Amino acid sequence: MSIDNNFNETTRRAFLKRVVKFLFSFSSIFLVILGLIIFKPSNPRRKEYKFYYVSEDKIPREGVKKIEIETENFHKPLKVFLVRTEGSIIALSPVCTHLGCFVNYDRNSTEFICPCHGGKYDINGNVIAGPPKEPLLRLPVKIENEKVYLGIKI
Amino acid sequence: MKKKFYPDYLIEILFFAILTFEVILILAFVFPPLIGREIDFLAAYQPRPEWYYLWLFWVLRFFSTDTVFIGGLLLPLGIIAFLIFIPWLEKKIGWSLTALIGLVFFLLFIIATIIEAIQ
Amino acid sequence: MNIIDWILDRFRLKTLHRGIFDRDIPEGINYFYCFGGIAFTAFLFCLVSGLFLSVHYVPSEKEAYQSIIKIHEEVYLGKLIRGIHKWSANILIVSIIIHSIRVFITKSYRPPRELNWIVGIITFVIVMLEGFTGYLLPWDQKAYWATVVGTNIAGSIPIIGEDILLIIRGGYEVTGITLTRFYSFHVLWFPLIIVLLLWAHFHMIKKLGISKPL
Repeated sequence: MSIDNNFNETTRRAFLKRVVKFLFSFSSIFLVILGLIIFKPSNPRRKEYKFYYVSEDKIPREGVKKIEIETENFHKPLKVFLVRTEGSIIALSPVCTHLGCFVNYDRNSTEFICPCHGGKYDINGNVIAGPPKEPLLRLPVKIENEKVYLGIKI
Repeated sequence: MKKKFYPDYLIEILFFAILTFEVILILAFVFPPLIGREIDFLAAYQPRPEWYYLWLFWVLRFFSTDTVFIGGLLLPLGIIAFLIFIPWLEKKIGWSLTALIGLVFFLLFIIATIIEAIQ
Repeated sequence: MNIIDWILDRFRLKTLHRGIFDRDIPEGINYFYCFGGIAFTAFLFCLVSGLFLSVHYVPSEKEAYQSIIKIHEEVYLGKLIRGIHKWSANILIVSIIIHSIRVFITKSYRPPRELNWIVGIITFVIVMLEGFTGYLLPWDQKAYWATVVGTNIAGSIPIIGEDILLIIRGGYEVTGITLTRFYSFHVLWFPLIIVLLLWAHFHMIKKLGISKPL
């Protein structure tokens, strides 16, 4: 009877050890998944274009002009480049497509230059030099009743 | 006479702890921290990381948009993996070869930091 | 029985304590062996000055920058504490680098100390992450753009990049939500992990002893 009891004891112990191991590994995996779920925002704001009125004097007659736009969601004014080439107006987002720094306009060379890694774009937003691959994002421009509206998603 | 941890070694440790404190205090007095400019999306600004990330910032120059993660993430992770496996790597290929690989990474760190800093 | 003896006795540390304090230090140890200790000192200064700073700092989008100005101009010794925090962080990173080079050159990472080497490397990585998260907290131009660039690297991973970016930033843009979570990591998660790792680091040194210089 004692032999039988010992046998039961060893199998019981082995089983309990497996339960303990399972509990620890399960709870650690559970914690990692829980962490990822909690860190991820439940509904990140959808990016939709909102249109803002741009007054006449801010629109360049020729070339590039930097304009300030006050948005509802962002507390600080943002900058957008308005470019008029061959009669049509395009709006370029200043966000460099490489790593998200804001590009500056250089009047002498008529290029947009990114201060981070030296990416260069021409006035249509196409890449001339540097690490970026995609052109600068073109923001939608709406003209209604001869008034210019600029779409910004942020 | 054999050195004991207490008090022979501990007093040396405490001496260096106090020396470190003095160096930190002098640096904090001579080079006080600055308040940066307030966030402004209009002004032209050249972003720069802290000095120990400058090398990574410089490396990213050579990776275009769709390969940024290779230079910015896989390279540092590779260096970390190399460092972690040094005890086993050293057994396989010998100390001097391991030291050579380590030296290459260290020189990359030093030279890239200097290049980015003097710009 | 004085009070220290009494506490040590109640913790049943008396014999263990003697063991730690009486252990022999191998001969031929030079001054490069002190960089681990310097790193630990610098970490303690970071910890203490960080505790003081956290009393006055407000981790919110609108008040973070103002609270830094307040620390500089109104808080008594505030500027000095911030300077100590900054410089001890720099000294921490420099001395960890020198310490790891010393360990490599003296071949102290060899078994049975290879796990201690790994713990040290992980600590170094976490310290670098502390530097990255702490950089955002002043909420100025420098902080903002460094975080934009740094998190965009993680966002550039194919397929899962966007989800990782959302997990790090808490949204598509770097906003107050990012500031709050970086603050949480900088003052709670990472210091806690570092303390645990350092306990393991010192425990192994205690058990395995300082490696004999070659």
